[in-house]
Amino acid sequence: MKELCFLFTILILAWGKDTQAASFLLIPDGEHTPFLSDGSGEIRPVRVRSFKLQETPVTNKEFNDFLSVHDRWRKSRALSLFVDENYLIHWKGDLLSEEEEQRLGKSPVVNVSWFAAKAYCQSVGGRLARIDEWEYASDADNPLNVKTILHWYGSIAGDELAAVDGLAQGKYGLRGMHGHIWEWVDDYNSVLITQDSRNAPGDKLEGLFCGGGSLKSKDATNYASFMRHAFRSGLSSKYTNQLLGFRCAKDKK
Amino acid sequence: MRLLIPICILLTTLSCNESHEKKKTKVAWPDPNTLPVEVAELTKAPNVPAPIKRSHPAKVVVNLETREFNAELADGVEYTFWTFGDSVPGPMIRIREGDYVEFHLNNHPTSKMPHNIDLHAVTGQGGGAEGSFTAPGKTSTFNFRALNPGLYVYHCATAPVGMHIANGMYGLILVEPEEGMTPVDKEFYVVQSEFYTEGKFGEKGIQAFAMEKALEENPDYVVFNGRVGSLVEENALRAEVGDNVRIYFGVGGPNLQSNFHVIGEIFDKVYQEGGTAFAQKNVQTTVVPPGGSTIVEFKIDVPGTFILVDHAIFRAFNKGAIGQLVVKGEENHDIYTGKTYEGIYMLEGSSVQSMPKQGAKKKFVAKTFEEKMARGKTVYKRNCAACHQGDGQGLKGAFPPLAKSDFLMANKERSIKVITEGLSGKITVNGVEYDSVMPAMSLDSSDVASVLTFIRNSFGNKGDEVTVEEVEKTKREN
Repeated sequence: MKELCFLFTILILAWGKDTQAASFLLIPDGEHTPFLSDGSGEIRPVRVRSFKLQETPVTNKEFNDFLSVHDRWRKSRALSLFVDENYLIHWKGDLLSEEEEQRLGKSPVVNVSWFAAKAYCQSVGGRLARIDEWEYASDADNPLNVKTILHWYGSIAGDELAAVDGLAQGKYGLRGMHGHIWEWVDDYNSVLITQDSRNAPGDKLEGLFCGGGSLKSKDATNYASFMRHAFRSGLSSKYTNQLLGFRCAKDKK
Repeated sequence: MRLLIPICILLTTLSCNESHEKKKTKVAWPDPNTLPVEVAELTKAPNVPAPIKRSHPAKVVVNLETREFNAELADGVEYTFWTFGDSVPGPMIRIREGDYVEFHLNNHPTSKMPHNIDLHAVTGQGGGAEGSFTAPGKTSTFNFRALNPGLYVYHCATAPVGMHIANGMYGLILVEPEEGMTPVDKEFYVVQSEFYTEGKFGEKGIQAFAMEKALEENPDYVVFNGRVGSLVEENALRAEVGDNVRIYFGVGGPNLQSNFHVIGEIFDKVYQEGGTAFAQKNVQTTVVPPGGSTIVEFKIDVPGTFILVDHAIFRAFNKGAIGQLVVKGEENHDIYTGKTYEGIYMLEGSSVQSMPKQGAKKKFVAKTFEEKMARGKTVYKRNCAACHQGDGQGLKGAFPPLAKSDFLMANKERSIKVITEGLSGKITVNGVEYDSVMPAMSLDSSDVASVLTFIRNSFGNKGDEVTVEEVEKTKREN
């Protein structure tokens, strides 16, 4: 057991050495009004405790470094219970080739499942952010962000994603929270926008389509937020998508 | 009735009486696994799938892909469309009453959004939306029985549904009645819809979706078949004299009704709201709601170019809702001759020569302050009130107020000039900036004097009288 611990420590250290450890930024205490009702009726602000969030989304290079240690998450070995068939489909092999590292190294890693993202975050002593934390930190209701998001929805993604260090900084110094990729959150499936519920008046959480939706959201005219919540509710934990990446959070010590 | 035939198929060995009994008590459909399987023909507008020849139900497999891509909304204007089957509108689907449909919705991996489909032809939760919610790169399958014949809209119903429809996700599915559709010579598929863009109509470049305009239901584009010009010139619908034409017409919306009209034709029959009985003969313009449809039929008697429009006519001429049906064939002067004579319109008697000048001389000229106030009020109502409003308050953001207006009262000469020559560009009125255009008013000097006297002494303004001489002096100096 001791040996294992030792080995683990070495590995962590080794891992720490060959990556520029992604920086975590402190997000202060605050209040956040959720976009959607939890079904109990009135939407009330929730308190978000101070926590830390990675400045940038996790990159291909960082994820590659994770895989070089945690080989059970390589695509040839990952269990189909935890990833779908498109897991890391933008990589040719199990690890980044030199050419791929050049080309994709600094771009956000995408095509990763919730399970894989969670495992990565655990490996850096963190976790995925919760919806309230993510939405609060991302300053999602800022009209400028809403505009950015709508423009992003109304554009076609290029083949390659930009390097994370060049992404615009938002509130709290976070980069690329909007208008770049989707990001996994820990409780992505806790807000139920059901597939379609315009004719299920009996179900409290439903009704987020057509007219019904306006009653459950704090601002039914905010299509940017609506879309983000709808996207999340379309996911399953093993799903991967070419625009879906993640960043890690940590509790404030 | 629709229950009877499948039951008869099932119970062909039984007596008629028994089948009649069963019909009343139990709904039974042929087991889908026993039905012949066919793959639905999907056609891009304005094409229509071939009529159904079968006289029995089948299991019909529909494969539909959702994809997001950039394409032209008008010449030089690009928009990111969200589509069914790579087109706006989505492809037309044609099935038969009683068919069992196996529907596959495939969301392209490059999609940003999850999508689903609500087919109004489906009896079941969400019209299939619930069973077809599909994340990017995934596929979903659901099945339904086509219970009701008719022409139905389908659309994406993922939250927020408005944006999915506004971006192009709709189309039509025709469920033919068991007895089939009457044969015609030409069938067309046309869908009207609106687009809300950040730039104004015709503004070049990639145009983003304008959420506010969609909420206000104030589109920049109202189009047939997904873009301006999709049905004109080389893309026009074509037919020949003598043809019986049928148009399957739907409205994707998201917000506006269509007032569908074909200039120069009369619909012989209209299957209102896409139902199966034609409700009206001899119709000029038929209203089609968003999320609704109609089937129109007409025989073509004469050649020409017949224009499809939304007869809310500014949509046709300023927002794109125009299509053409070009008909070739022999003229028939018994029905329409075209222009046979052009000449000068001679009025009777001698008034033609004498009227203009004499009329002008007889014109009323206001002299006293009271006369000017009375005359000015009339002139104001006719020429000014539409913009500056009856109470002189103007319209916020567009037309400056005249009531207690510092701009108006500060300079009499300038006010005369504004009326006689018009005004454009930025001005500040009572501390608020306006940037619009007022055209020059074609009023004679006496009316200018009257209306300005009226304005300067109404709506809380206190000013002096304006004389004809002052007006003419200003006119001369400019």
